[in-house]
Amino acid sequence: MVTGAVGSARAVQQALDAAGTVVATVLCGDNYIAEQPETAVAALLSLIAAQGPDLVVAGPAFQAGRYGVACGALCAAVQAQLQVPTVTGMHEENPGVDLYRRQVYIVQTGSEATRMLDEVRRLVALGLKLVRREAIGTPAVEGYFARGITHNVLVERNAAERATAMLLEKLAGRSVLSEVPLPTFPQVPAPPSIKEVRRATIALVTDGGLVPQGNPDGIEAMAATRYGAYSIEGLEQLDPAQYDNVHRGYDTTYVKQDPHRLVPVDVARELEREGAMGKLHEMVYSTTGVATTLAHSQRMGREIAARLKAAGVEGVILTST
Amino acid sequence: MTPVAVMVGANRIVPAAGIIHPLGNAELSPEEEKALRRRIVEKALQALQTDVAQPTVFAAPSITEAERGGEGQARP
Repeated sequence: MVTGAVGSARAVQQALDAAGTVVATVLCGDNYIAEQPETAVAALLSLIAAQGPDLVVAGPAFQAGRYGVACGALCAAVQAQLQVPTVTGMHEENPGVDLYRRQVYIVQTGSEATRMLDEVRRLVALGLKLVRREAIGTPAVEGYFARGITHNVLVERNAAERATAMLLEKLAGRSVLSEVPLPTFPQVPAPPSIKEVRRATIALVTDGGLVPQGNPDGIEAMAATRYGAYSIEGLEQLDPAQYDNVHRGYDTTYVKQDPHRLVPVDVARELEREGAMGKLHEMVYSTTGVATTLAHSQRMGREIAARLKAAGVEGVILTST
Repeated sequence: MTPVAVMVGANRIVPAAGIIHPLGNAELSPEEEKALRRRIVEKALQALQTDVAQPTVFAAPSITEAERGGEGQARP
């Protein structure tokens, strides 16, 4: 730690001008913090705490990946543990953006430090608003990455009028900006086929909301963040009395009457016995796929896939509603 | 829901018997319903044995319109 402003912090001081003083600059190596993030963040945190700042400005990290992740981790820790507002800056392709934009205000910058002072002015402007507890505008207005937060706003024209205006713009060949940016779904390369399903272990997975009675894992009725793993070991079929369905996106009457209408344990057992598949995996994974965020879907998918792979499962039949 | 599955990039897609009962249909007899379910699962096993390069819908011609039944009201 150095007293006062050094390096890029000099640009912060310049941007602050009379609005504030850079009391200290905390610095460390990219590799140091990448290799031992918990130790490093804790050490930086205690240095920062000792200064009692009103605001912490990290970076900007531009397109430097390890630097970006470090800035995000530090800002998140400062906010959570010191209750001090923070702001950082990154290029859109910095991995720190996706990791931390929901927790931290990350101002969008270019990829390199050539326009350092201009970029830092935008960081500082947003930082000062946070310190003064002023209203923060939309990501587009303030120039930070959307944090996934929805605010209600009053607009003068109703949705039909806005949609019609948008259509007319489009017909006139002008560019239109959707009010609801659609998520882009990253392409997943198709895994190779199974050579012999007759020898393979196959698992059943569903996003249709099957749970044991009492929903022991507390799987949400919509916008799920949790999934459950339920044993079917030794079961020839699912007893409707043992199961419930918490999915709030479709009429679940029929699958509550007979869970096989969602998770085909009965015929999968038959096919296993007849040798059409090697083995039916003894765990069924289940969650609710309704208004579930892409981020949580990806995480749950990764976790379930890792557990299935560790159990030697080669193929999955995912039933969806 | 197969267009949604294609749009989000699922690689092996087997059309089933409707949103409110993908692997069954309450209007069929229990035997017919199970036979329908079995055909869908057999098709899925076939799909797992087939190499694909992009989202591919495996036709399930053995499901009749009567078997498919109601789509019901569903939110994505």
